[in-house]
Amino acid sequence: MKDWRYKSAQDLGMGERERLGSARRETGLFAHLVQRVANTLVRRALAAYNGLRIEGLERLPDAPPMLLCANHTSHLDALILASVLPSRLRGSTYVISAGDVFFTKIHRAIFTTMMLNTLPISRSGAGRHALRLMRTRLVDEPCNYILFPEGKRSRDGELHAFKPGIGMLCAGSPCAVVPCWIEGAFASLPPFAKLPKPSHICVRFGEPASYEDRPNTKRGWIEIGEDLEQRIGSLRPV
Amino acid sequence: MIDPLTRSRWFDPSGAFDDPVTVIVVSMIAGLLLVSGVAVLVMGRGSNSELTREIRVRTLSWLVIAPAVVVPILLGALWAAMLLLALSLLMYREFARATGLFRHRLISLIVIVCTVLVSFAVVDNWYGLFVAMGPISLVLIAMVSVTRDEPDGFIQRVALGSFAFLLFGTGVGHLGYFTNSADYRPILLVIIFCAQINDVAAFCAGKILGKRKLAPRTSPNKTYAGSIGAILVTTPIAAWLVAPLLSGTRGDSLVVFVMFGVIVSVGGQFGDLFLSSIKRDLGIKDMGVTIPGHGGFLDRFDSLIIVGPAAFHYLGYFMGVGLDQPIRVLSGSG
Repeated sequence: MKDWRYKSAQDLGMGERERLGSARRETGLFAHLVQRVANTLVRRALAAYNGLRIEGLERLPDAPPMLLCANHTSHLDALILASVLPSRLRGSTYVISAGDVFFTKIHRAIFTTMMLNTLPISRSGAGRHALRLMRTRLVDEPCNYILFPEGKRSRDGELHAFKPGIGMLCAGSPCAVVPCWIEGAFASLPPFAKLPKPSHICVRFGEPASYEDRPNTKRGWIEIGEDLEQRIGSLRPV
Repeated sequence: MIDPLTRSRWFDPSGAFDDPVTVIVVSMIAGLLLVSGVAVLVMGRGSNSELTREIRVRTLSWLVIAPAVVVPILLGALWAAMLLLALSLLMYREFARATGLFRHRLISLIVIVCTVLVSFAVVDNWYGLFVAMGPISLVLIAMVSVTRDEPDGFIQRVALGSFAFLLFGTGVGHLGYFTNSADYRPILLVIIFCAQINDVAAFCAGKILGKRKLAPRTSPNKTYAGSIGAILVTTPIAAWLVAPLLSGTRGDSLVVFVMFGVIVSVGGQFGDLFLSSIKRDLGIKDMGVTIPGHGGFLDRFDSLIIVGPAAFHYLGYFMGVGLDQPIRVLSGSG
């Protein structure tokens, strides 16, 4: 018989509130079922309202770990990506989101974790430890992250410089990094708008890359950021 | 249509205090809470040691847990059954997170569905289904485990899933089945009250007199003194409380009453040690943090996992449970 491999939940011993804002949070059955329903509804709504088109879905890896990186122009982005993933990946996917936006108020934290399975990350520089934790988790669990390397929504729809955090997650790691371009989300729901417009949205997945050979150092992180920025930019329709 | 007898058992709280045992247990609970509440307030001024703080937090938690358990039982059999279903599910949740079983979502779902079905059998007064859920759950868990086409760890997942169902679905479910008895209120209150008194007695006797460790590797705080103290305190209380419930049945004898007390006390302590073993094996201290001072629901109500089935079959042997009530209330007797 194989060795006993079961491990306790990483968030064991935390109160419900602490658990909600922790990068160690693991999704339970109830939240998972809610997410499945929410994802399906969002996908249907986007298809009907925005004529959502998906390209390159076959390029996604067969199993976790995967790091899905996309341009960020709208609150729709996370909803779009979480809902279009195939079910073999969706169940183990977390959306990495800004701790200072989505986790400061309890009702907002409940809503985003239940809808999108978000994990918080601090944008104020105190996130090193959390990033290391997430990096190990990605491969050990294994799971997938949806991540926007620009760190915030673009105010003009253009692609902006990447934060080094993305490199810290995948330098020297065997995980598949998939670039992705979301076209049309900015036109539908830019940062300064309140309600989405019914404009067309298209999601394009690129070829997965691995940065296993890159050093897990500052230089490696910058190189990865530049490489990914170029890969994501090249997916943009002309 | 639900027959009037069942409906009044389910929903009618007007007869809640008809049985003198109910009155006695509820007054004892209220009295104990009042006395310990006052004692904690007085004691809190004096010292601030670790032990005092622990006792204070525990007592404050009791002020919330006790009404949460007693009120649904008094309100009606359906509420009591739902309370015990909720307890089963909360205990399973803690167990699944602690063991890692929650990552197998399909198995978790089956355990939950089967636990809900046990509750359905309870509410329905359908003993056949209640008993059948054991084998049914095993088959279902094994089946969904096969569909993964992943023989690695098959035995482990199926074993963990079935173990969890037997502990929380069936174990706690036995307490639920008492709700089919016409006098379910005093029975449930006596069992739960005595199981908890047993814990408190073991804690106090152990703190005051305890020297020799009972099972130092399993639970370093448990002592022989605590264990014997619990038996000496719980047995007479349980025997005295259960006597009126068994009068007129073929279990109407002092030996039967005393044996009931011993079963509750020893069963409760085994439940406690049983959960301690699980926790030691996992390398964790508490199953949760939901109840301040106590840990999780599993830490607080662990004794019921064994006391439930033991008391059910022991009392059932003498008085029968739900035999004089309409059966298959919802599913129809055909």
